[in-house]
Amino acid sequence: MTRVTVKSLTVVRDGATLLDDVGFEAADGEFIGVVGPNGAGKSTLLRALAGVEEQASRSVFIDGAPVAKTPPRERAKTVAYLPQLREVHWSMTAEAVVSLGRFAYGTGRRLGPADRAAVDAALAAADCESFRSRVASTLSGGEQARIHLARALAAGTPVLIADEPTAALDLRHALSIMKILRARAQAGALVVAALHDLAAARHFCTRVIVLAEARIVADGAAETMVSEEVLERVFGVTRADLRLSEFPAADG
Amino acid sequence: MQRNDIMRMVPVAGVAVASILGACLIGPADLSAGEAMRGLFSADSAGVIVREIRLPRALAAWTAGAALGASGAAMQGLLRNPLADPGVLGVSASAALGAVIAIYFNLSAAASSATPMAAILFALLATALLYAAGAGRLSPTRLILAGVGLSSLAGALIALVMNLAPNPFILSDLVNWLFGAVTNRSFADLALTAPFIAAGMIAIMLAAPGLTALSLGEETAATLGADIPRTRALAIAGAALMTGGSVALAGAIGFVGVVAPHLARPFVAHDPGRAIIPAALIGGALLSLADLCIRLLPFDQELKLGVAAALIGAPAFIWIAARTQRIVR
Repeated sequence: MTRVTVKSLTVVRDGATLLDDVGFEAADGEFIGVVGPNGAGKSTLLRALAGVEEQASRSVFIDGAPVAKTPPRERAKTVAYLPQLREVHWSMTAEAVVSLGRFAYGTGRRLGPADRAAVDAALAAADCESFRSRVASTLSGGEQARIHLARALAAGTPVLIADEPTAALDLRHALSIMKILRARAQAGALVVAALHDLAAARHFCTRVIVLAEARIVADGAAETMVSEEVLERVFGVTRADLRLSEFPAADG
Repeated sequence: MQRNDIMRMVPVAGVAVASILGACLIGPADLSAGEAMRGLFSADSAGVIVREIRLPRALAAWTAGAALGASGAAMQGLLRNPLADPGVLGVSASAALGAVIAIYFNLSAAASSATPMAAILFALLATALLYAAGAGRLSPTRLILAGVGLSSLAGALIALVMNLAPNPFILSDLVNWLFGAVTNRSFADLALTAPFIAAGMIAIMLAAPGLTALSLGEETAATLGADIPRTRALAIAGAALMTGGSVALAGAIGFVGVVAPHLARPFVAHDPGRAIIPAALIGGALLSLADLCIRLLPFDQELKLGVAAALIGAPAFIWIAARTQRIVR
């Protein structure tokens, strides 16, 4: 049983309030979609959950322990984090990148049989097996996104934080990543993902948190949160703006 | 280092040992190869020449090269910049400044080890200055900027000392030292600098797993379980100690520290943490080979080691820069 608690989390940087008194609780088995306009504070919230936002050290707790104060190695066994900016320096292979997901286990460099199995399973789950021995930086954007997801999956943590995991992906791979994340939650993990695709959030997530201007403006079951009212109030977009009816039908 | 890494480094270690032994065979004194080899163990005049002149020189070249290779690998890994070198933080320029000041005031008249000691002292001072400026928390770009500032300051002060040199003899001493050389090095010089280089190597090896994690960027590395402030502190301190030791031993020698890590990386699947020991071995082999070359060249005036290293290293550096598509991120 893993419980994440966020208590009145406020982050101010260079005079700008990035998060303002944000609070919620979450438990394993949930797949939470964090949605909201650009600059609403989604990434900052996710960074705080992952323990890399220093100002959040007294506000985010996993099973009662402040996440930013937990030693890195211990934290890495609890929370895996897929940042929005996914860098790979040097000409490392896809498999080497995914293996770094097991860094916190063992010496960080020598993988045991359990680590190998976790890496193989993650490569398979994210559909990366066909290019596992290729150099990561030479792969396509979608392939790189899947490698980084596999890296986060390989850690086998009870909490998985993903910042826009489907950005830059084609429909098929976006769908497959949402399915992987949902499966992870169904297997007992807590998954929190920042998403821009509201339809995907509504379909795959169990719960949606809507952020706007550094505050939580709505939080609840996915079906009720992604509504016309939220679209209009938070994104300033109406159904008419989306002009969904203008998509040509198959028969012309 | 994994076991197959070690196997692949055997030829490199072989080159280093061969060039050190080769350096024992060559010199102005007319000794046959057999006499020279026996000289490694005998007590006659050949023994004195080989053990007290040729061997320390060869070992000094190897040690300085190894220190530059390892600290270059650590800096490239830490800064995630393939063009970083041991001098990127300004430590080697500061060490050179220390030596230049010692030469200017002729401190070696008071104590023969004054010049290398001053170099190490200034390297440590520069490192302390970097930490006082917050090096443990700085981003790679800010760290490089701080290093460029420190390097230029040390460079300006070196120029000032040379400008003020009262006579051509001191000036020529300064210039000779700045070119970098391992001629006339003794085991005393090695004994003075080896502890710093060894301590630096230990610090860098402790930072190595963190350097591997840093391949994915600082934030991700932290969430992978790497202790980034500790990695940064160990890598900077280790590189500073090794660079300071190397400058104290051989003067200012460029390019080995940039080139050796690049040659090492393919041996270890481009893992920056695993590249450190191979980079040390390759750096050592490169510099002992370079020192061997300058003794074989038929010039009246022996080429300085730093000059030879730059002549070989600069084209290699340009080649690396041209091959690197993403230089800084």
